[in-house]
Amino acid sequence: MNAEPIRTIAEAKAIVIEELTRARAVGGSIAVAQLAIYNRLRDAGQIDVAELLMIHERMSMANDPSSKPSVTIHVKDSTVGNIVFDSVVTSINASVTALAQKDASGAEFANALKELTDAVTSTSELRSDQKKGVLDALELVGKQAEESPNNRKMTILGPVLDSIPKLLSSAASLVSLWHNLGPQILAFFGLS
Amino acid sequence: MLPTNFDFLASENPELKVAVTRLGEWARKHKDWKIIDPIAVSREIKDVDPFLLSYTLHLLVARGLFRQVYMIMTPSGVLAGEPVDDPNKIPKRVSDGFDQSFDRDDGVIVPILEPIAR
Repeated sequence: MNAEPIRTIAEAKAIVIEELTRARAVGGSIAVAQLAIYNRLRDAGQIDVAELLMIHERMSMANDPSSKPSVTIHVKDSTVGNIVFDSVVTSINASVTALAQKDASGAEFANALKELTDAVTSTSELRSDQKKGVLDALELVGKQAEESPNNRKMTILGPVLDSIPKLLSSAASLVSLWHNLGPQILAFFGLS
Repeated sequence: MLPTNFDFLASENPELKVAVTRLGEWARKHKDWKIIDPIAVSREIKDVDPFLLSYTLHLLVARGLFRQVYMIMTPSGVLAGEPVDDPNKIPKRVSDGFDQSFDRDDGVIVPILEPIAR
């Protein structure tokens, strides 16, 4: 592939972005605009450009604060039964980043939280709804860890922490991981 | 399982070397994922031009490592419906998986890459 197709595609991309911007400015539907652009390119014999632009537009949404990240894919009897918990994981990662910069205790907690989060998102031992439950719990744990000890809602946090090993119970590898990381997480909150 | 070795693209397209390398690292990190939503890539790989990442994913589809399908994202951020190979095939009304339906035109069409078993 030489530079020529990229330049051509870049020009097409600019057209699409311009049209999407115009559609949003007049309150038009994003899906309708996407289809109109896709179909025009396809009808012009540029299906490859149309497919590429759909990918690129999706990537560009990562920098659009008004766009909502995908959370769950609900597909029955489909190979696309996996999940993309972007918003929750992004939130947890924000906590990890903030805590890692605080002090040694925060850094240790942040490492444990990140390792657990990565393991949950990548495991195949949990169903998507189970992953969602664990990640929601870890998100709350991360947010409470960012609070000063006096501002933490321990009456909520305690039961949530108690629930995590139960939520992980159907995934043997995660139960083992919790045995290793759980004490660090509990100790951070003074619960060990 | 996601494929993780895209080095052949870098040798054929030197201008994509950085994008290919970073995408390979990303895929190894998430090798247990069953699909790729491109937004997940761009959220983690912030030091590479998103267009080059998009182009790299596009080439991986063209080379038969992935299949590009489309789903609809509800206004609340849930990907719904059955994946289809043409966005025009997304029904006008789609179930959100919670036994509620919504208008396709109220959502956002999302391209999804499914790995092709080799």
